[in-house]
Order: sequence, then C-alpha cells, then structure tokens
Amino acid sequence: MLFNSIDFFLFFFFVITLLVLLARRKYQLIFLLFTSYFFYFTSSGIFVFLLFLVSLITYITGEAIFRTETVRTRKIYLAFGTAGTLVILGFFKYYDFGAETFNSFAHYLGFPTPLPIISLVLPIGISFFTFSGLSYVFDIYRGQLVPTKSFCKYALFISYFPHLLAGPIVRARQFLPQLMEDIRLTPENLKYGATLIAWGFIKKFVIADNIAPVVTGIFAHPTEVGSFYIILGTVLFGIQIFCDFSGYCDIALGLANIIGLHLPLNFFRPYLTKSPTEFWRRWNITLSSFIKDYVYIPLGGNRKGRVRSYVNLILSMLLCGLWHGAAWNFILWGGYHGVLLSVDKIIKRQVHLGKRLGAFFETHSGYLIKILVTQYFIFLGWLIFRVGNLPDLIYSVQKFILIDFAFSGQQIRFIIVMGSLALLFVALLFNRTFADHVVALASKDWVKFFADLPLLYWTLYLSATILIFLCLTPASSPQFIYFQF
Amino acid sequence: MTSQHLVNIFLSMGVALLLSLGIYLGIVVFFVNPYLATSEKLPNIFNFYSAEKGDLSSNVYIIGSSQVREGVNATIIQEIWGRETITSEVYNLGYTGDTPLRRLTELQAMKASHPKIVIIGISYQSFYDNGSIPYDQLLMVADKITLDNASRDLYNADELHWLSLNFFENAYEKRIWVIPAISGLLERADQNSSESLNFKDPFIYTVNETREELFKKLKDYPSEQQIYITFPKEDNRQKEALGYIVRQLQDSGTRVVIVVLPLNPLLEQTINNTDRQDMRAYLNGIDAPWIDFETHYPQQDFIDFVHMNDAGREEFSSDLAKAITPD
Repeated sequence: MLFNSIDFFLFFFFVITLLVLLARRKYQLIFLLFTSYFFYFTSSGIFVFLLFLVSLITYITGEAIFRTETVRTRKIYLAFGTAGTLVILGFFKYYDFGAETFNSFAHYLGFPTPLPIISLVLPIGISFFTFSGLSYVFDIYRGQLVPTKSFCKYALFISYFPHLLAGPIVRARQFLPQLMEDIRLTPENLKYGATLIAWGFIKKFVIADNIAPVVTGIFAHPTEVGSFYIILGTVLFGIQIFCDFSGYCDIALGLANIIGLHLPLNFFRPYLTKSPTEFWRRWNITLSSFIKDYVYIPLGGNRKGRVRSYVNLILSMLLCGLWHGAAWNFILWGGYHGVLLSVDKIIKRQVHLGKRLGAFFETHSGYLIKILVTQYFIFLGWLIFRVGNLPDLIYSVQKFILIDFAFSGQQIRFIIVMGSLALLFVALLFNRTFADHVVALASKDWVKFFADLPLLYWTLYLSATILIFLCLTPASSPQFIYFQF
Repeated sequence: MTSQHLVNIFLSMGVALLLSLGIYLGIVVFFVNPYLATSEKLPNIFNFYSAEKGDLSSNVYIIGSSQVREGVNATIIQEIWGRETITSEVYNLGYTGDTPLRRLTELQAMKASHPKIVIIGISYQSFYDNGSIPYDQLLMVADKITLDNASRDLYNADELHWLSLNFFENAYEKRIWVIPAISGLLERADQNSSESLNFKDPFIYTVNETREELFKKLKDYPSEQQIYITFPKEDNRQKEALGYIVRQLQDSGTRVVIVVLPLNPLLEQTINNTDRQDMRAYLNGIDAPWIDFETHYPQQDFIDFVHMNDAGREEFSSDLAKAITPD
C-alpha cells in the first residue's frame, strides 16, 4: 500500500474515523496496533512475523534487564537481546554481502568451499524497526527508561505504521509517554499534518520522481560521460535523495501528527549547513543521534583523547554507512564522512583564523562560502553513495574533482547562464537588506506558515499542491530510496 | 467549537480536492485532448475513420509502420489510377512503430468506415512481439477503442489495464501530456501538427545516412538490427493479429492486399534464408494475396536501412499502383 495510492488514503481515513469513534485509549491502541500490522502485511506479507519477533525479543530483553540487579547478568541479557535482534537483521540484510566477500577471499586464497548466495528479499523497514527496538533495550540498560508493562503499547511503538517502512527511527522514551493519553483529533494537528503531507508529496512525487530518470540515465554508464554530466548527476542525486527521504518523513510526520502520536523531526535544512558536523545534526537526525548515543559515546566519544575521538568517529560512521546497505560503496561513504567529521574537528580545534578573517566568516558572505565548501564535500559523498561499481566510482570521482572541461556548446551556455545567476546572487548578498531577506526566507518555517493560514487561504494552498501533484507527477513513481535500507 | 473547527477543516480539504480535480480535468479537456488531436497521429486516425469521406466504396487505406508512412505517396497512386479512370481516394495511414497488434485496436473503427481496399505493409519487424505496446499509445486513444472478444484475448493484462481505465483514471494518466500541451500553446504549429493530419504524403524523415554509416551500424550494433531481419519461428500475437485483421476485413467486404515492404539491400543481404522463407510460408497461409517488394530497390532509394527517400518513394508508389488495380 503506497502513500500515494487511493487505497492508502481510504485506509487512513478509515483509521482516523475509527480512532475517533472508539474514544477510549485502550481500544484505540489495540486498533492502531492491528492496523499497523495490517499495513505492514500489505507491503511485506509474511515478514509481519519478523516484525513481531523483533518486538518480542527486544521487549523481553528490556524487561529482563530491568528486573536484574547484577551488572554481569544485565550485560548477558543485553548481549543476548542485541545479538538476537542483530542476527535477524544481519541475516536478511548482510548475509549475501558477507558470503560474496568471503567467497572472493576464499577464491583468492584458493579455498574451494564457497558459501551459497541465497538472494534473500529484504523485509521493508527492517533496519528502522530493529534500531527502534534496540534503542528501547539500550535505554533500559543505561537506566534512562523504565520498560512499559504493556506489550501492546510496546508493539505499537515498534510497528506504528507512519514510520514503519522508512523511519524516522523512534525512541521509546519519545513515543511511549504519548500513549498515556486518549488519542484525540484536534484542528491544529489535522491542519498541520495535512499541510506537511502535501509538502512531502510535492517533494517526493513531483521533485524526486522527476529527477530520478535523469540521475538513473547518467549513472547507468557513468564512464561514457564527462565531468559536466557527472557533476550534474551528483547534484541532482543530492536533491533527489533529500526530497525522496525527507518527503517520506514529512508524510510520515504529517500522518502521525493527524493521529496525535508525534514522530521526531528527521531533517532540518541539511544543505544549508556550514560544516559536516552541523550537516549530521540536520540530516537523518534520528539515525545520527542513534549512532552518536549508542555507538560513538559507548566507544569513548571524545573522552579518551583526540586521536581516539577521531577513530571513534570513523568507526561510528563506518557503521552508519553499513546500516544503509550491504555494499562496499556505503561503507566507503560512511568512512568518508567519518574522515570529514574528523577533519572538521581538527580544523575547529587547531586552525585559528585571524581576527579579520574570523569576523568575515561570521558575515552572510562568509556563511555562504562555508555552506558552499561544506556542500561540495557532502555532494562528493553522494557520488560515492550512488555509484556502486568501483571502476565507475573511481572514474566518476576523478571527473567530479578534476573537471575535464570537455563541454559541448550547449553545456557551455548552460554553465554561463547558471554561473552568471550564481554570481549575481552572491553580488546581491553584499547588500545587507537583500541578504537579510534571503536569510529570513531560508530560515522561515514554511510548513507552519501555510498551516497557520486562515482556512480560505489554506484551502487554496491545498488545492495548489494537489493540482501540482496531479499535473507534474511522472508516469511511474520509483519506490522510496530508503525502503531498501 | 473544536468539532465545528474540525468539520470546517475537513470541508476545506474536500473543497480543495474538488477544486484541484476540477481544474485538472479542465486542463485535460481543454488543453491536453486538443493538443493530442493536433500533434499525434493516432487519435487523428480514429477521427479519420469516423469522419465523412464522400463515396465510401472508393476508399483505399494503406496501413503499416513508418516504412509505409515514409515510403508511400498516396497522391501518386491516386493519380496513376486516375489516369486509368479509376476513381479512388487513397490514404496513407502509416505511423511509427505500427504492428498488427497495435493496428488491431483500430479494426472495428476501420471496418465501420467500409474501405474498398486495405493494403497492409509488413516487414520482419511487424512480427516482433516483445513486451507490451507502449502504454501512452493505448492511453491516448483508449476511449476510442472497441475490442471484440477474440481481439481482447490477444492483449496482455498490462495492455488491457490501459484500455479499460475509466474516465477519471484516463484523465489522471494523461498528466504526462500536461506540460507538452501547455508549452505547445506558446509554440507555433510545427511539423508534427501538419504530419498528424496528413493522410496523403505524410513523410517527415530528414536524415540521410551514408553507405559507410550504415555499414558501421551493421558492424557495431548487429543486435539492434535483429528485429529488422528475423522472423519469429513460433506463433505469436503479431501473427495472430494480422491473420485476424485480414479475416475480419474480408468478412466485412473489404479487399485486403499484403505488401512485403522494400528494404535497403545493405540490410536485406544480411537476412537469413530460413527467416525469409518462414515469412513467405506464413504469408502463404493467410488467405489474402501478397506482393513482395523486399528486394526491388537499390540502396540509393533509401535514407537508412528501411525508410525510402523521395526517389524511392516515387518509384515504390508507382510500382504499388501498377501492382494493385482496384476493380
């Protein structure tokens, strides 16, 4: 059941209608749990049992850890619970990758016993609900959470359908307290939720889906094109993945908002960030905070010296890359970001700009330069993320960094026009009033702005977004990119 | 107060939905459909069948792919027949990528227009059946298509899906033409619009590939030429569709002639004898006369492997007029 299908909207309308009619919290939660499992069943069939199994393992582990007094036994429970959950995730997500890698090494060393490749179907959302379950166990272990007595509430936390398929990764301490009250439909939640859903639809089905075929075309055979198309494809992919994933999150947050059980923000203007560290505070926020809280800090964070903190960063980001998928380019992408974060830390600690230069980088123009430099490296990272094949990747990175200047006449015209517009924009930024306006526009909460409009104008906003959706969605819509993770 | 506010918001959402749907349907009816009618040949062929064309008993249709569209000048044929006091209106209804299965969607409309003769131009690629008919080709004329049960059986589920959309679904899927339709308003009528309404001499190709370029194509991309030179051994939907079209037209009193279209000798020489014989054997099994022009013309008459130039078109049209004489 896709978010953009009539079936989904009928399903959702049915859900909120019955939630209102049921009125009592107990029945509402049972109903919501049932509909969440039904929703997962429609997209993943038999894997619904896997969802239940992960919920059960993490629930029992959390309970066992909480009831145990001795540190050693708590650790044993933690190890069993974590391993049990990760084995399931690892089997479905990483077995084939591991087997292929092992077989390559075995072949290289002359061993004749290759592991079979099973070509398993990856259950949608498995990384997201597994990590949500693990966060529950970890928080109990760290004494930051008291386990819920109700398995029904816990299972709902894991399976709550708006975030089930592609996040955001929800923490129990954010979600479970919301289940203490009756679910009520409020005008504010309804209006804000609908505004956010419309916003997400435009991002995903209009922007990302129209860009997708261009990106696919360029990266199908990247070695057949020059720097122009490699850079264009990389920039477009950066836009595509942002609109695809944040579009999904907007729809998920909007649906959750209407129901009244809110989800955490997952994106906050990541392409306007001025450093890699800031980028990771605003990109896939729930995953990066999970990695920070449950990997980076337990590894020692920055408490064990500078060098160790860089190693910890790189290890954490390697894991972050591996979480995205069982492929070397994702691991490479994670490692690349680990290095970026480390270099960012080194620069902040050890590079001291002069007074005037320091002051310049605190102006609008200075911010713009910092944003552009940061995004250059972020987008280079997207190239690593997108191109899976190693020879293609080496070629593409070369073309991205060392521009070949083998442009056609049309490409030169395009570059001149875009370059002139960019220069004009930069020049205008030196005007303080203009720069203030740009900053005000860029930092405005547009969703809230539209949601707060009087009903007549809000109706027009909604009409316009539906009309844009009807007119501009392409003939076929690719699956959300993060469904594969 | 809260519940009233909630009701108002729901009402607003309903109004927004209706308003946007209304505007969208307006765009489809007033911009997209007229755009398709002026820029695409397929809807115009259906309009052509249903339009008044004077004396129905003298109409001759020539159908087939772009080989027919490029290779036949209907005016020349009409003039040649006219010199022999045969009054016929000859129409070239060829369009790019036509196959018997695609043409089958027009069968009922064609029959209803009672042509005197239908000349079906075929070549090896007419029998190539791999995958579904492009959905946009079905979508743009879905509301004009009538299929009988036997025809329906030849289409796969995907094709039937596009043919069976209701009005709203069809309008929604036509969104792929919204931008072209609106941007088309800003442009002058181009070659397409005249081509889509031209049923006499609708040739539009301007390329002219040299002998060296064609040799290079044969050498570098041999697999791409396979559909032009191989005839499928087993029965397929294209073969069944052609047989069915012939039978249905004959049953309704229309004379049918099949023409094996000319090929550039450079390509023709690469055809396997078995494929050549298989196609002829298949044509012999169809109860309709067929004329073979495959090897009749020199390389100078073609602009590529299959499409003819001005000289070739003139020559082939004359030969066609001489080979088929209306009674």
